[in-house]
Amino acid sequence: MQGIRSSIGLNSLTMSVGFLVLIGIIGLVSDTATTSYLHAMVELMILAYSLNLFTGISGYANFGHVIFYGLGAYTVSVSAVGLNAIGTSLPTPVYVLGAGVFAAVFALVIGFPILRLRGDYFAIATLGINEAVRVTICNTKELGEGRGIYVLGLVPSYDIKTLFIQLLIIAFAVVITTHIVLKTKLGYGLRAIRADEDVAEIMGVNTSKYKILAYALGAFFAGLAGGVVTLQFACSFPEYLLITRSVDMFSAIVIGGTGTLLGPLVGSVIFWIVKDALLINFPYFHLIIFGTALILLILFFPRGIVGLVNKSLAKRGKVLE
Amino acid sequence: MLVVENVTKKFGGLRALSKVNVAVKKGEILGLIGPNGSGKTTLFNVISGFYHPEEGRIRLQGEDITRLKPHQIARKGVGRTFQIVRPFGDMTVLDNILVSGLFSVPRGEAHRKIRDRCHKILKIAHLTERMNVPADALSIAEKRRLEIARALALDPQLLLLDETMAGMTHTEVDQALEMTSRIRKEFGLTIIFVEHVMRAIMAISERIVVLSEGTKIAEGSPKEVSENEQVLNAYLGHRRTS
Repeated sequence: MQGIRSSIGLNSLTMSVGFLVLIGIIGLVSDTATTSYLHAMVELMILAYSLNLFTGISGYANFGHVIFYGLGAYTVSVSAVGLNAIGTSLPTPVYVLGAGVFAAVFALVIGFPILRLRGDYFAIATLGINEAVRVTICNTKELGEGRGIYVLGLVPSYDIKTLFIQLLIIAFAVVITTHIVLKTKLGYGLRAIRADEDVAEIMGVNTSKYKILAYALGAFFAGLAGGVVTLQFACSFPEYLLITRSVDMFSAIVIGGTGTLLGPLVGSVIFWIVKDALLINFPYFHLIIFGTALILLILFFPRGIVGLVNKSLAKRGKVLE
Repeated sequence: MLVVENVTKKFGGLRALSKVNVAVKKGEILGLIGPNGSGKTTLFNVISGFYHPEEGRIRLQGEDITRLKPHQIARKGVGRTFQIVRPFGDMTVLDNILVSGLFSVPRGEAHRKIRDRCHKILKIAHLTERMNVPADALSIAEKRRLEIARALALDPQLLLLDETMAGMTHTEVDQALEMTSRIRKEFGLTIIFVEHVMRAIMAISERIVVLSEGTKIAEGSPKEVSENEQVLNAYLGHRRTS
């Protein structure tokens, strides 16, 4: 949809990709501690983008997104253990892709029933399914119960820089996917759903189809990130499915700006830096301070930082493409 | 074009529509009137697939559309507006129109063509200058025009207009009438419209159907309907016989 309005020259895609390249370069030339710090930040970024694909653009509050990350992690460990039992293994990219695919398939399966729910009911269903899956894993012997599944030696061990590169590739992929989604029918349909789902349907949007497509697409990328984390720690734990992580990604997209291309990136960076700094300086109060700041942000800038920038640009008749 | 056969729609014990028959020919402009709560908007909701009727059938150009989903009916060429305007508030005016533009066309049509069509519609609806404004920021008359523009972007054959002139000033009604006639001619549309502004109904409808308490009580030319005893009773109450 280019050429419709006056753009401000730098567009969101250039900025997002440029910023990722910058983070990548810094991460690859610094010491291991800095790389680990940025690695965790990029991981959150991927999760935020994957949450943004469905929840951010369509406005369907989803508190159980971390389930796809956790299932991705378990896909890798379970398949590595299973393949080892029959005396074989797979190349690493296949494990990671498999994690994404399994998460997406799971999203399709649970999406059909729960995407019929709207608003708060959908949010509660995502919470419920998340806990149900986590508790099931904790109580299934074959899935290692609460201890997790160790795959040391079954998958290749990588140093943090190699893992960081893998995450960067996924991050680029999710940014470009988001860009494409926002510019095409899927994005227009989801934005219409966010504004008024009934009217969207009347305007020809197959709402059920577009919701489930975006839901599975987001799950795919969260699954990929989950696959990488199993490689990183050579283990998958039930803790990967903890709700608190869902809250982290949710905070990141709310801070940055839901439904935008730059929002998840800006939000993740700010969230990561601020949360870390608060944790170090106020070890007992950091969550209280952070929570208060988040509430104020939602009250005064419901569209996040990118939303705020867009609004001030719009006043001057310009738009951030 | 459109045939509504024996349609009954109930909400709990209430019969919002009971055995309603309405037919509209291609190119015709049909006025739908009736007191508040007589089932006009319900009829629109049933035609556009928003509700499914308990009894009866709806056929569009011979094809049964009774059980189709709203988006399927929309793509078969039924566009509608809402009595209480419902724009996609935080999207720009152009994006509002692009949604129905994008989703109405068969897969693979060039985006440039869709955009050109949307710009043409913006012009007809006098919204070109406002195209980059969020729809929330429009005035009520502009929002009403956006509703029509959005329905037009679907490239409909049948347009259902639900009180597009309510609350407008005299001049605005004139403009709206002029626009309705213009789009009808330019797009070769069949139109069913619900309206309380009697001047508008009498001016442009070729035929009028009157609903009261969910049943059709009269049908005919504007002149016939305005002289019909039952219609007068429904609107004004019974004449005292002393």
